[in-house]
Amino acid sequence: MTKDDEKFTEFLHELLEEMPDVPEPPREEIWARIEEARRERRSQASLFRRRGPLIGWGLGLAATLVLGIGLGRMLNQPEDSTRPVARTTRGPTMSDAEMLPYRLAAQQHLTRTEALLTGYVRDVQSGRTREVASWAQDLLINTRLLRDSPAARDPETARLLEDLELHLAQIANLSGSDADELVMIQQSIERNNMLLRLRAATASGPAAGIRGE
Amino acid sequence: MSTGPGLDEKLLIRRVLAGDASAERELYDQHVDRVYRLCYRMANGDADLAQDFTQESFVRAFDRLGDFRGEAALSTWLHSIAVSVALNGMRNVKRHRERETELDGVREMGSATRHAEPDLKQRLRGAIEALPERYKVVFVMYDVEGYTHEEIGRVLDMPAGTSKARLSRARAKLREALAEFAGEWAT
Repeated sequence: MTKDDEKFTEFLHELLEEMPDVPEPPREEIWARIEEARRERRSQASLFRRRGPLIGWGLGLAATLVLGIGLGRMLNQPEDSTRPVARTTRGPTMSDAEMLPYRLAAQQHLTRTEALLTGYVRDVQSGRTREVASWAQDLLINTRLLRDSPAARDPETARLLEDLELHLAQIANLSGSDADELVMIQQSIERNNMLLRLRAATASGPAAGIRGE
Repeated sequence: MSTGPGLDEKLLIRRVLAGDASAERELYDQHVDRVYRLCYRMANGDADLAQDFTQESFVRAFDRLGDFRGEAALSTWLHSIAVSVALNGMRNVKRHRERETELDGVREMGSATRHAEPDLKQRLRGAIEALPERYKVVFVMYDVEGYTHEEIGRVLDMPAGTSKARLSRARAKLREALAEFAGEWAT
């Protein structure tokens, strides 16, 4: 350290000493907030534990859909293999009974997605971004599988799944609790009336198409 | 700050982990003042932010206390959580303020007035705020809050020599920022 550096450091310390000291922390207020935040997180955690089996079930659904779609594609392989393969959504006609499992899977998927979209802001704000992102990632995989399945033959469901894919990808990519990023995602979800559309889709039930609704 | 938890501290941690609410409060009372001081300094003297950061630091600490291995003192572990919370929090605040400034800039175009030249202390405060975070945290801990380089090294998980080098860099940057007041320390 040069003489000049020493003089500056001394000068700096004099200035720092004149700076206002740190006020007393409002200990009781902070403690009350800590307890409140911990209570909230505990209830969030129990909510996640309750959702846990659904996530596991979702992964099961994903596996089933992969297998089903894969088999469907194998069985519907066009004779000329050089021609582009049509999406299964435009595949052969299926009976109502054959469609029912896909519709049921779609309904359950939409119900779980609605649960995510309803609570993810609060979850992220309480520091559970990683869990939320992972949950959104699982739902995103299922959404993509459903888009490629006969469940997406209904144009309304196809549009809904397409929009969901975008929003779930946004949530799956969340890395912190950036308020602006959350506001942006939430605005785009609201612009697309996602919750209303999800509720309408799940309210009609899996047999809606069969009943001709 | 010692290098490892003492017997009392180990017992206190065990009680907290066993769900003893009074032990949680005891742990909080023992550490809140220094955690708050650190958060307050890292938040550039914003008391509201300091409270937010302190709250979040303790919430995280209680959540993760089971992961505390006892290789360092509990205070070291707590302060490293506080530094991490404060740095992340300040990054968010900075991003938010930058956006607000952009908007204000648009609104105030054409009506901008020249502010009075800030005095030396204001300039110093601004210069500390503007330090890159790796220098700022070392400067705040060493020059403002009186931690040793060894303590800083343990909190930030780096060698004490790195802390010394960063402090030196921080002071050099402050000196550059205060260059126009050079007459005051050179005399």
